[in-house]
Amino acid sequence: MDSTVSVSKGCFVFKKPNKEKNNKRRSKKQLTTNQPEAELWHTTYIDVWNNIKSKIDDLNGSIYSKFISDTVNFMTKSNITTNQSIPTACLLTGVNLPDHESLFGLLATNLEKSQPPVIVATLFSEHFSSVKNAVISMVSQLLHTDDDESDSDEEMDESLNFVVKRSECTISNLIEWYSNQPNGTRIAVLVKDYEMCQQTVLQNFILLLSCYIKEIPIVMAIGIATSISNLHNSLPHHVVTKLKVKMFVSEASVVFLNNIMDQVFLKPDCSFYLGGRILDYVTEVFLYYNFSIKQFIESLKFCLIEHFYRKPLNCICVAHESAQEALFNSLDKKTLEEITKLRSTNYKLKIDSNFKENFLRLIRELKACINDFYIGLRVLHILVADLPHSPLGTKLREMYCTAMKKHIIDDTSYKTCLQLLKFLSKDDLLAKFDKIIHVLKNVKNNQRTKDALKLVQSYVKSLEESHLNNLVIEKEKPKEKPKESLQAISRSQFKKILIENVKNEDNQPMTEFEKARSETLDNFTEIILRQFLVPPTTMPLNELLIFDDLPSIKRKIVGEDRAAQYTAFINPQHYLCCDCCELEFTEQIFKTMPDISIVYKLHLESRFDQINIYDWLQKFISIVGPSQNDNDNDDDIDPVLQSRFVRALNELQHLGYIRPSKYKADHVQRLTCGSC
Amino acid sequence: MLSKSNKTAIRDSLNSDFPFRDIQINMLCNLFLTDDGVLPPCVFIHGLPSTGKTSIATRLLYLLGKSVKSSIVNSVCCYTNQFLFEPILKDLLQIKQSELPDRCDNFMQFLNILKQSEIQQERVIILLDNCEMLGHEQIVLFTKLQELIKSYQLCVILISQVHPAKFDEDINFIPIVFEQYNNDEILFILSKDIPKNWSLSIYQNFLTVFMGSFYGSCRDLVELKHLAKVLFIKYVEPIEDGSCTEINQPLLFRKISPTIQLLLNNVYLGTSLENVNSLSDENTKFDKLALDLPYYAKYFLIAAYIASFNLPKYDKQLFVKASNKKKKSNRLVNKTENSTSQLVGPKIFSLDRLLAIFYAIIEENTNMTANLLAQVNTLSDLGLLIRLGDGKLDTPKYRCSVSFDCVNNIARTVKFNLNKYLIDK
Repeated sequence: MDSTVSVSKGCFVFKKPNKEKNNKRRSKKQLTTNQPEAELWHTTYIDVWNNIKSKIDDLNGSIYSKFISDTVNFMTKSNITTNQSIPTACLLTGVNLPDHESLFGLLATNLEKSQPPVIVATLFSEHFSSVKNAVISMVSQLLHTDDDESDSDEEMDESLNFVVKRSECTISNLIEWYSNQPNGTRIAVLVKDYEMCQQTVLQNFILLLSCYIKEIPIVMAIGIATSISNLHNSLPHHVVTKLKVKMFVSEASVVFLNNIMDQVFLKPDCSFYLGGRILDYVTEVFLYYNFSIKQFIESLKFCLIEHFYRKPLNCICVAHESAQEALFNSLDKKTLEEITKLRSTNYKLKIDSNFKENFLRLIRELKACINDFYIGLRVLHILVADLPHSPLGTKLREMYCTAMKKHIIDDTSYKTCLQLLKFLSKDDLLAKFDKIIHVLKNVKNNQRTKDALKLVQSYVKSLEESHLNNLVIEKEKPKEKPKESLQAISRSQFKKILIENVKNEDNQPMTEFEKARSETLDNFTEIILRQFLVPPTTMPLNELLIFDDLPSIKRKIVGEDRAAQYTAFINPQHYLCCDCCELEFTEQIFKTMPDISIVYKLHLESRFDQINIYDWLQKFISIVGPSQNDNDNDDDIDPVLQSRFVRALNELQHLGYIRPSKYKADHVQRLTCGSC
Repeated sequence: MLSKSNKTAIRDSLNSDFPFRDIQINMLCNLFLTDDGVLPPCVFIHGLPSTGKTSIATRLLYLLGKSVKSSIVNSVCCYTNQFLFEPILKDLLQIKQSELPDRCDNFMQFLNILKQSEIQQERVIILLDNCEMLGHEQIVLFTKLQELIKSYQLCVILISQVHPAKFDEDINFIPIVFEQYNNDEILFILSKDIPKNWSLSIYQNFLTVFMGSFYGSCRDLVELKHLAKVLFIKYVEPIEDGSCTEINQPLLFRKISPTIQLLLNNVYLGTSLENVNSLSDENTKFDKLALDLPYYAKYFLIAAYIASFNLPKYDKQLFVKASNKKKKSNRLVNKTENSTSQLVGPKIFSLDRLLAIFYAIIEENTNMTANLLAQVNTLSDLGLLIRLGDGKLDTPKYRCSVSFDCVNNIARTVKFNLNKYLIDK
């Protein structure tokens, strides 16, 4: 029996896309005008997000710039005329397939800008269903770019202004069109996802292009997600000889993640602050699941929406200081009460005449604290990032996560760091302090930093003055050791004393530098780092600025389909919000539940993986059917109930919980195991 | 008709341009340079790549010039019937695309147009290169074209790398086989394009060294030509900087042999070998490019490998902790280089089994989220898993398509001992 023959038969209407694009645009505009633009949270969100987005875009461009420029260089400069081979750039871009689209878009725009002119066609795996399709989509893309240009150029041939028909998209037309192009124009064919293309079609397509290379200078770029050996494994020799391959390796996507965190989010000028737990979670999703920057950014965007949505208080905190007062006055009493109920305020904030001033003062303090925190974090990063075994991690984001949760100075791993630091050489330590001074100098308008700067400079001075070889003459000599104790009473005591003696002798006199080093580091930790690295999450009102509500977004960022199904079946009230099926314990079954839920719960009661459908139906009727259970009309079953049952059964089958049994006709096989 | 002197001129010109192809050129000339103008219905030229099939045939047509109407079509470009017939018609009738009466996308129309244009009166040669790309019935029809048109002056030349016996025994043709050049022949041909400024003796010495190491792995003339060009620049470097004389061949050989080793690994790879130095850079790059996958995807790949190369009956032994057979199984696990399961190849497994093994080998407790399941699809998109079956929703089946070394490397990055989980019986 075919499992797809189920209740879910249906037909889907695919409307032809509207040819007039203007119409679409208009309707879109109408949609957007219906949006509640006036609402505070929305405008704030848009502001913050645009700010972040533009920074990310800049960063992406700068990271990709070398990769792109190398590729463009190869594609525009490489010699085409050599024996029928197409210059091909193999872009090894890592496995995060969703991000490739933006990369190829960037490449295409860069190619179009380059000199000599390059006209680009981007092909995706879905175009490679047949050679014909591939050629048509390539040619139509190439000819259409020309259309756009000819709009401004009215003297162009009129026939070119028409949208080219699919049947006319042939290579011969392309050659004809190419003869009208300026001299030296190249045609670039970008193949985005090599692994997903049908290999035979791609091979024939390459052979086809190589036939025409004398007429049209074609260059190719192939995006390969896995490794270059894949190309060699899947293309036969006679195809490979038609290509002149050069590899280009892009940066690993982890580099992007680190850069985005360091340059965009973990900077004081970003007005969106992430909590440690959230950041931990999204980076885990990134590293463990998909390596997708795109999804990472989207989930942060979602956090941002969640943070601002219908929360005027959060918006006020982000707003400019001059506007805060006015905005605060517009709040109603209920929201004000919410503030006092926040856990972080410790119930000390009361609604009184000074309430507004207190609130704004606290927010200012919190912001100052966050600023200091970021500075401290960078200082800490310089200090501990390159230690052996990196007890605190090597990345800023890792330290951020730890430091956000609790005071990092009290962390045991910081103590190991400190021990390791005390082994550093003079040059290394001074280099680190140099960098720290540099960081501190770049901060403006901050009294605390100025003080810290002075302190650090004094440390540096004392370190520089200390000599490596001069021993510190310790004035207080160790206490006179009672010699007579060597004649000990018992063997164990004797051993103990010996060990102690060794320990004392081990305490070699420190050199001047060593002493200065350990003092400096201790002072630095206690005086500077301790005051800078106060976790903002311990400050009052931190909930309003720092988003750390992991449970509310966890399921929304990463869907758990099976878990959601399970809850829906076991406890339909969770989604339906009806008041008739409130469960006292999970196995409970009510008549009012949806049929599929009842059927599911009944099937959990079965102890074997083969379930008799008739018994199942009887149970179902006993729950759903009329309450009087007379023995005489046992045989005839209400057809309505039966059809309801069969329908629910089909739905279960469609969802993959059961399937028809191979052994007995009236049995079904359970596909899940255990009691869930 | 061609005069006798003309014919010998053609023959000589072909022979001088293409050495060691006397037999084939002879045959072609006998067939096409006839006095009565009668042409064979179909000639099938076959031979391995770069043995001069297409070059000789097209040169012959070029030399025949105006005395025949010819059309040369590369079948790779004919992805629809229309692109097969229309170029031929354009060439034979000497018209432009726009002047074609109407679309021609089946054989009947093609025949009709040819008949109407009274092509029977002229000598016509149609050359179909790479004819293995055409459909089977198209080849059959083209071999019978003479019959269908009713002209003795029409010939179809089919060129292919595929042996004609692979097509059909049904078609009639005159076969012409182009053999591969042997060692001496290649040496002679290569010595023809000697670089400027160098004496023939040096170049020939180089070629003997070159052929000695490359002839075993590559006999493709085009590839060899290219390799020789790249390698020669490196070969003469010691002579140019004066550290070695031309006569000191053993030293020259010693200096070039590491580069030869390097190049031998890159024959047929199509990587742009502009010079040897770029190659060594790329080789170091290869090492860096281990397959970098997300953490769970790595485990999925390992699980898929285990599922593919173990029989399901051992799963209980391996993964059920309480099973007391475990000790026994540990003794059995001795992975050798070519174990039987390796030789048999990966077996099919279902998604359920993959998930079960995945959860058995992974240390952390992770929920089955949509992202996690999407990983399986990503892997099959990347070609690391092969999805089998007809796309049914309930029972997708997979097969692991990655080699042991690759999976073992991945397993090592997550500190997973793969060998412990492979049972070979």
